[in-house]
Amino acid sequence: MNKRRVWITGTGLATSLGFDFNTFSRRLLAGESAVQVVVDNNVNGEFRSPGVLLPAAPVPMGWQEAEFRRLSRVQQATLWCCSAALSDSGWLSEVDHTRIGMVLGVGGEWIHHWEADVFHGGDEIYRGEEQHSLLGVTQQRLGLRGPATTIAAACASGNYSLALARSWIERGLVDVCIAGGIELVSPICRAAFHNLRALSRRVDDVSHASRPFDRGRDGFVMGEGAVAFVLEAEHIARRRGAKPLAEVAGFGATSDSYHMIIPSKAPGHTAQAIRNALADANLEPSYVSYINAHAPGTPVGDDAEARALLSVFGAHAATIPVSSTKSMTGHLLSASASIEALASLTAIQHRAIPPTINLDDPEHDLCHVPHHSLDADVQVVVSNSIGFGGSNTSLVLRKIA
Amino acid sequence: MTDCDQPAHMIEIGVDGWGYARLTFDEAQGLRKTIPRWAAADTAHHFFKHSDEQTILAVQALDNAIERHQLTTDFHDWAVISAPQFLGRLAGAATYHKFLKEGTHGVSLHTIPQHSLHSVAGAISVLLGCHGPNLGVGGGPRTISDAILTALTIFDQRQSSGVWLICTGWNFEPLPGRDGKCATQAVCYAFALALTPASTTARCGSLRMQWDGVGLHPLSTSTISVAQIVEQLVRLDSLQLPCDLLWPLEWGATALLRLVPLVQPPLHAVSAQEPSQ
Repeated sequence: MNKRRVWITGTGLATSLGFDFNTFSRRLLAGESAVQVVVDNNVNGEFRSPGVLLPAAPVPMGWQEAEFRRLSRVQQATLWCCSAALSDSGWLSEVDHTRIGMVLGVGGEWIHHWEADVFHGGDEIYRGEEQHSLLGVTQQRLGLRGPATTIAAACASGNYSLALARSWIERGLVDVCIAGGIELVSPICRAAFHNLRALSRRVDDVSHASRPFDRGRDGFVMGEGAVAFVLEAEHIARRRGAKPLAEVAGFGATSDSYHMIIPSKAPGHTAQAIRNALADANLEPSYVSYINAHAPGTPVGDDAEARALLSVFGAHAATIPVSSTKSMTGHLLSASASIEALASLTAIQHRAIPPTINLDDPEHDLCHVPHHSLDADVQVVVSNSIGFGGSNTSLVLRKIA
Repeated sequence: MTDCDQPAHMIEIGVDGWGYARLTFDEAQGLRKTIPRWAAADTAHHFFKHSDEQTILAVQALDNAIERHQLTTDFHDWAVISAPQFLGRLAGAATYHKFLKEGTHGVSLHTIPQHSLHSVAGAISVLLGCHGPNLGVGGGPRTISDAILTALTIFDQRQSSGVWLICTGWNFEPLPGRDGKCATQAVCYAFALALTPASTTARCGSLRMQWDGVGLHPLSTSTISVAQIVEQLVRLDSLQLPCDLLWPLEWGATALLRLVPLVQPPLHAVSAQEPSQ
């Protein structure tokens, strides 16, 4: 089958570094940290942890503020992102006569929904009468009538979203598709990851808590946010004069098949996912201009990924810049791949590579970009996202000439 | 401005095996120490200790498919897609109860890994040694549609020679009491399909999705449940006749699952007792 090329032509975001692409890019390239002290009150008093919280999403065009604020936080963030992405790409006014698909990466929708409901005095979990998913509500509110699905592969969810949306466009199911991920963190979610000993304990030094690839890393910092992209077939984007941000050129995915919680220390399957993505994009490793690493700041995860990169890129690993933007945004779990695809677009569009802040003492011999951004003509980005339990994905984004 | 009239309006893939399971909540609980014979050799005996009940049912349906069709395929590069429905309701209720009582330290570290949307697929990927993609889809009221759509289109990734699609759901939801324990007579259903590209010789049938090129339809609210599909599979077993399951997807497409019966009867891993409903 002669496949259509698929372009990203719009973004919508609700992040701690901004609610529009240019603000996000400016702050990311400036190396701003969004990490703060998060305080959860419970029966034992205060539980304090480093984290990144999302401010209230802006009200999308055409909505009344009071009506919008009656929606849940997660619905507000999702609707804002999808609406903004459609608006940015020029499709918002076309929803009535266009089959627009939607792939939403969200891992703990119902667990979080029930928790929020219980803490607000509700009893939905005890009644079992749920009728509307986040996906359904978003489709209905935006008037979208194309195929849609919720998907989850833990922290790799956002890359799967983009890959599946690309597949639908290639297949001709849709001409236009929204793809993205969302994560809002609840007190129980923070507690669960804390008890897993996956989180950084630097609560007295939060701005330095997220330190991927640094020898002093001690776990990740959980973040909140949502990102949506609009993807469309190249020929349609060209026909309507849309401004492309990048081509979704390749995707690779593997599973460690090792453990439900513990990541594999062996880098082989992560490396294979990267190789698959490069092969899918028909690119040699030497063509890569920038690697946006998954690197959450955990001792085992960063090490395994670094070794995978060295394995795939060989001698080129010494010259291809690598950074982990989680050092600034925190780890957005279901939305982490999406925000990192956004950071990759930043690199392509703003011709600069975002840094890994807090990288004082790199453990691995990679071409790091510590502390400050680096000007570069970025043509091809590899963005890795590795899900909890060994779900490895790699995405290739290519600049459109 | 749409261009959906090209290039094709149908996707079809083969079904190389199928199986199902139907168990009461208590029956599922009783299988926590049962490790399937095909599981990786180093699988811990307590693998299912913290699993969601839907994971246990998914594995039973998978076991039924493997045994029923005597599948000896190497699943090393296969993908796993799971489509649970309202996963983690009981675990969630127990967790909230404990959190309110004990605070942060009362939250189990298994809450997220075992009861997130990807958890069922993750468990099967580990058990079966599948190194292809693994992901969860759906999770809510229309999980079957999400599952079919994803399973049919993930083949475009060209990185797997097959996909296990496992859908699970309750007919009567296991509603928790205020103590977090199951307070209803719940029945869990699951079915598993071994899907292969249409170009291969599928032994057991096909899965197809069709849609029109340009039409836009009001989003439909009608859907099919896991329980309805399992009941059809039970019927297929008893009548030994080919079975066509046709249902609409929300966006105007239709899905068709065409299965042929086995010459030999199913082996095991199906609930011995008819659940009382």
